[in-house]
Amino acid sequence: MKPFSALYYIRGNKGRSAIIILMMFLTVCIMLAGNYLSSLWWFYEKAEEYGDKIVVVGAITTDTDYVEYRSFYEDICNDDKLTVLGRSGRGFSGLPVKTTIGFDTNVGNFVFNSAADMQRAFDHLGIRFDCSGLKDMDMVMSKSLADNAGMKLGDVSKDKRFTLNGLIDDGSYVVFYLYEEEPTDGILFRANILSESMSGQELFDYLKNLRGGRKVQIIEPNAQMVYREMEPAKLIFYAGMIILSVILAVTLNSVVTGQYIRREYEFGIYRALGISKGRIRRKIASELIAMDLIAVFGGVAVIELFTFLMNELLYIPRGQFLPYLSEMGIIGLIISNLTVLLPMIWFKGRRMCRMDVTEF
Amino acid sequence: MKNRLSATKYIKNNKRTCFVLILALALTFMAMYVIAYIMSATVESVKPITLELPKHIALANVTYGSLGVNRADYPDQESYENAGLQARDEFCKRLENDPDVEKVYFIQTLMAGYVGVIGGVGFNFPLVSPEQVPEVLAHVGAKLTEGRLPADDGEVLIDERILRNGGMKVGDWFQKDSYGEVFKIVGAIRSDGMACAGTPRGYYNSGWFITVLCNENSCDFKKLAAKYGLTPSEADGDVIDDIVTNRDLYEHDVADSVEATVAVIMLVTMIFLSISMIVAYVSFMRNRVNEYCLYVSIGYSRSEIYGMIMREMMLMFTAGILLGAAFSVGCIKVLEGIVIEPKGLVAKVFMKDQLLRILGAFVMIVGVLQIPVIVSVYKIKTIDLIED
Amino acid sequence: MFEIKNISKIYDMDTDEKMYALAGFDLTLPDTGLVGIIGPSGSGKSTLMYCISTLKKPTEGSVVYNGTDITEIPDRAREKLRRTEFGFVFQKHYLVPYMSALDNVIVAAPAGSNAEEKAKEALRTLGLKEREFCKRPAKLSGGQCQRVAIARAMINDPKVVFADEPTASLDHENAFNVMRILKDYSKDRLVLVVTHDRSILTDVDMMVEMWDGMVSNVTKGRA
Repeated sequence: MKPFSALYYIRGNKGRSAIIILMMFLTVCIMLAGNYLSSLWWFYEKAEEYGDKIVVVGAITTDTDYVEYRSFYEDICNDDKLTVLGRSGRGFSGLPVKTTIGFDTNVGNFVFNSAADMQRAFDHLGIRFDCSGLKDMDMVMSKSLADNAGMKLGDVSKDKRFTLNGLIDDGSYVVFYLYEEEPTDGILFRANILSESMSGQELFDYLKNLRGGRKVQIIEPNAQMVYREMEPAKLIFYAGMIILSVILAVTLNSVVTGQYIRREYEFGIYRALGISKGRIRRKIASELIAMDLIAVFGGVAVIELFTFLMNELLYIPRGQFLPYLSEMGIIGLIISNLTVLLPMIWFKGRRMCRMDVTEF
Repeated sequence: MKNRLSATKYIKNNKRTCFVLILALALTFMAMYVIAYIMSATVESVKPITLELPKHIALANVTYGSLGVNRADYPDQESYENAGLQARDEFCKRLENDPDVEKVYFIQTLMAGYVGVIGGVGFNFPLVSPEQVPEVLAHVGAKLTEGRLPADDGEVLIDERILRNGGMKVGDWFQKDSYGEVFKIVGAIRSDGMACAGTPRGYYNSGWFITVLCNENSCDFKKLAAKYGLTPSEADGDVIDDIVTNRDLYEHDVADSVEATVAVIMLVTMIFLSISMIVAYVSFMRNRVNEYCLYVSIGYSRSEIYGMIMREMMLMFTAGILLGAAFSVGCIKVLEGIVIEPKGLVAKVFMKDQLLRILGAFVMIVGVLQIPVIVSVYKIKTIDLIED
Repeated sequence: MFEIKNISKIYDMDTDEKMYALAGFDLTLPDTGLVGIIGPSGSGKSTLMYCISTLKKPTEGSVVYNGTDITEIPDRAREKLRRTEFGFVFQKHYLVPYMSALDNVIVAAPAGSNAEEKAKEALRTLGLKEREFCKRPAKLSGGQCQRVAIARAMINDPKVVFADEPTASLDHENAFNVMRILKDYSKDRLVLVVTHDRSILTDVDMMVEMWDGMVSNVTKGRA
């Protein structure tokens, strides 16, 4: 191993390097925090996918006698590109689920007018479940959701209306209600619309065009609404992460300064030996980057192991989940690492390549 | 007798090094306080809607069965419906005679959404006739701050904070994505409970409710109804939206959840920052070992040196706390201006509990730092024993 | 080798109490041989050495080395000189504490130059045993450390070796050994030794005496 190399320094100064690596490991903990917060979004991933594939439309109360809704309903039933699954007639509230963070949030639901409609929807969504055994006022949900809600087959919902009569294995947090009562004038009309050729924004826009100016509500999927409401949480996370990174950068810089003070004459000698400033800067950068990479890779391994244990022992049995990787976690890790690393490389490099052995 | 070792000499002559530590402490203080401030915005913002407004307005949708009208007792649907309507009207009249009730309506309501920092709440507000709007406003203590009172169907008055929260203004359609171009915002109002009011358009907006203009003695609907022989219950299909249900919502769904979240965030932040602070301080001390050895060599005792170290630590921690408090005030002012106020949110600026938590954390850090300090002091040798 | 003209080094230039470490003088140094620079503490001998070895820049004057005024060349060129043509031995050995003796010598060698073999050879020549090559400075005696420092200074076969008080931290026997090594090296190279101890300069080829920032006397031949 070359004596000027970064790994040589780390090997020869294990104790000091360990301190810096430990502190850099704290930046990896920010990734865990990002994953933890992202677990909130995790509940809605499948719901978002389902919301893209099945769009719910509903009448608006100001549409007297639902004239405009009926006209719209006729249009969508006659449209070859669309499949309309009955008149569900009602909307019900979703189920409250306990998040990993500790508070409850509501998940979305779909309501079907018949078991055949529900089967058609399941086939479209790719859910393997035989709905033929279901009856009016039954509900179906994933095993994860049932675990989270503390429910098992045969249990009745909190409002005592629906009975859990089907468990599916899709990992979604969506409740599927079977409600066969025909809608009356006193109850809002609703319909589930799906399409083999369109989904997501394309399907939404198609329906909006078809609706025109008629008083019909194209209902925003629950997931989208929740995502919008939780956007501020992302901003708070990033702001908090930057503050913590700055604090870590400040404290780590003081630790590293203390270590580099002891190496001032080493760098003074390098300058006296004719080693260029650029090479000294590269040496310092490579040492700090090497320690950072050790912290990051080692830290990620530890975090992933911790996440695995938490999921197996705590979260999955409770119908929850801590993601192994998340966009927020990765961005948090990168930003916090750069916030800590770059100033250190800059300041230490600048200082050490100015060392003058004649001053000692 | 020797002079006491000065705690300020090192700080004065090593301003940069000490400032780094003080800055880290200050940022730690600021991080913990400001995060709690932001989270408090969720709790404090929904307080008016959940704890204040229900003291003035209670809503209930009581089934015919709870009113004592059972389908089996009537030959047909029409007579059953008529009996139900009559029973409800009588019940409302009896309620209105209660000395603690100002008025009772059976009216439509509209749901408004209010988004906190994380999550939000929805609440129903009354849709009455234009003539009844001033009565409702007077009862909840709301003042018109912009626009005019509703004069026609489908016109609403919205609390100015809710307007800001939803990015709406006077003249816009109210929550257009939910209701379409149906309810026009004709005015902004302000009250302690963020009340809203308006006039209906069409039929069955967010539900028909028995709406009671109540006070603090009559805002518990079940208790009020029991006085008049009624025992409404959610299990029987009755929907009650009063101070009891809202307080429950606030305590269990909002305050407790946010409290738990804040506690977890604070704990994690504190552990994170404690580790970095402790490592930094230990490194800071290790660079001064020779200095301490010199003091011993010229006659100061280890306890005097320990005293000096502690005084330095206290000075720096105090400076860090004061600087942190100043940073927090600045940061909060900025957040108020760019996030809290524009979003119509409410946040608590002075949080005594959080301050105590932070001070407790700092005391804990000082406590943990005793270990390396005492170990360092114990290891001090005289100069001649120091290895070069 | 060195033509020094009107060299001066002034500290605290902007104050009323300027300090003249070098007060302006001329000096010519030979291409080879052992040159001793002697004087009391504060006479400017170390400053003179730093100025002619490019570690410091003189305030005024010129230092011409092999026809080039090295006070005017850019930093990169000065670094190259120190890397390829100059070697340094200081009073404190300044060995890197976490590197072995062998690695302390290798670190001064240019990349890809069979440095390890050359370093081992240099250390052997200077009297270190094989088993001491892998020891860190803390495990070596003062004399051994100084010999490693000398090996580091000579690994690139420099034309000029600057030794600033190389024996100040050593006992008599080690001081004698170090001076013997430097003398051997000066047979076909220039070695400058700065010291305040006349007793180690008995075998010099040229003696420069300094006093108060000026050269007070130059003697050629044995002191």
